[in-house]
Amino acid sequence: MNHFDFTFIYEHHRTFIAGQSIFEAGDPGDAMYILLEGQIHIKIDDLIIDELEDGAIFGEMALVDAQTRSASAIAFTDCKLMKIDEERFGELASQIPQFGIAVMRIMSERTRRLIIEETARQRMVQELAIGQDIQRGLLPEKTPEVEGWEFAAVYLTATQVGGDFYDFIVNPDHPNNMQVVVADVTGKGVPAAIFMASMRSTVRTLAHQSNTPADILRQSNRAVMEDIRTPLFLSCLIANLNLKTGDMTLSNAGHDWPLWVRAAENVVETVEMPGFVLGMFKEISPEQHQLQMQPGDFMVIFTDGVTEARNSAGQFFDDDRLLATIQANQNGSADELAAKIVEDIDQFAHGQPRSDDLTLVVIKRQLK
Amino acid sequence: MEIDVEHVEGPRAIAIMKLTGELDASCYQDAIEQSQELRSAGTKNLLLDLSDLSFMASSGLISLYNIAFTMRGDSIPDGESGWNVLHEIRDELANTTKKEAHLKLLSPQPRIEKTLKMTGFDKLIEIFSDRDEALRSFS
Repeated sequence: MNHFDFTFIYEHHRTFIAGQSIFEAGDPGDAMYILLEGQIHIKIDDLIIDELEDGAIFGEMALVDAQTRSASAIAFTDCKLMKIDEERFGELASQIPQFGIAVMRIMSERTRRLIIEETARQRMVQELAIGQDIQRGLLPEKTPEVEGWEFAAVYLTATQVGGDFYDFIVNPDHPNNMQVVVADVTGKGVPAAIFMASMRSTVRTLAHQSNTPADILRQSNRAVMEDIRTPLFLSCLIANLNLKTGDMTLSNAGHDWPLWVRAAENVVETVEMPGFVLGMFKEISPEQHQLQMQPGDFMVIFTDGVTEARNSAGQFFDDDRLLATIQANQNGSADELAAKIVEDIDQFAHGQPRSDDLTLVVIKRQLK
Repeated sequence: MEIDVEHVEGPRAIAIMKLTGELDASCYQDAIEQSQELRSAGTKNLLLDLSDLSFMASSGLISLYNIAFTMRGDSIPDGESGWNVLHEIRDELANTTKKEAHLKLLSPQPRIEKTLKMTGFDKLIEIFSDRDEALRSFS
């Protein structure tokens, strides 16, 4: 605690009204302030890093180390302050040893507190990294290896933990059927990741019970409606693939429409399947869409992180670029096409950070 | 994102809320709050002008969804106690025909229109390309 009474220092009092800025980050650090009355918020960007009350001093750091302001100080209430400029500070420090000691004590307290906060932050970063490992563990370790088929998957998160997931589920009792799932939780970060983990289990359990894609979505929606405590939505696309015949039954809950490369016709078709996202209504009745993948065909299923990847000019990668990449690379393997899509997105984004999770699943029926 | 509000004179208490820029996780709450303020100040019908909205992230859907039931006159319940209420409102909202609705959309750009179609929102909220027609549609 600081027992030094700063108020005896005679200096002109200044008043600031609530909301007024006392100094901004980047300003020259030419003075320190003693808060006589009122409350001050110390902010970095929009984040309040400290709240100060009567008797506090602030702004002393920049004065001592001669750097510019690292944070902004804003009057939270109407305030009365005393400003001590560099010259006066030097005088006080040399004439009144207690003044210098009191300032040092406040700086030490602040540093100590920062160390404690930094330790806590480091711990949180570590925990997030553990969370990321756990989440990665929920995704398939590798893509399935099935004769006559190729599967590729890419999963890139925008933050440490993501809200997308994908899955390849085969019920051992029906080894010729595979359910391919790609889903996206609205929002990002820890809440989305927890929701994703819970929904992944729900979908997996329902898929193992050999439900149709529409049934899985219908019942997952009920689970969302019953369980969640925050209004998060989930878009989800499920494709049930018969590995013998190539027949595919798809159902969609508000997810991006997949792209079907029909090799024989040399066309890329958008499989249009409108449907409500999960978590909006108590009951939904998703439609099912049937198609048959022929040898040489691809199915590209993705989340909006693919088409909504942006460059520094704010432009989107968009459907057209995705289509062009697919059209130019439909003679290679599923892995090659997936890698090429990611490469083209990265090239387009040109170092612009990802703002959303990106998930991409490519299925190819091999030529005989 | 910028939000501009224009009040339409007449007995139906319509306001036009124009969103300009990008509706994403950083501002989706602003749009909801603005609709709540309008509703408490007496606005009964809201036309959301999306013509200058260049991007809507998935969190934008949460805005539209919450604005839709704010304009019905329902407050958005929070926390566990209100959760059942929220579910009931969701179901009622689904049963409200689009003609009776108090929220309509004007001129979304193609990218956003596609998102609305993909997620089923176009079935929930009527979309107009003509402003006068949209205003006349409020009962």
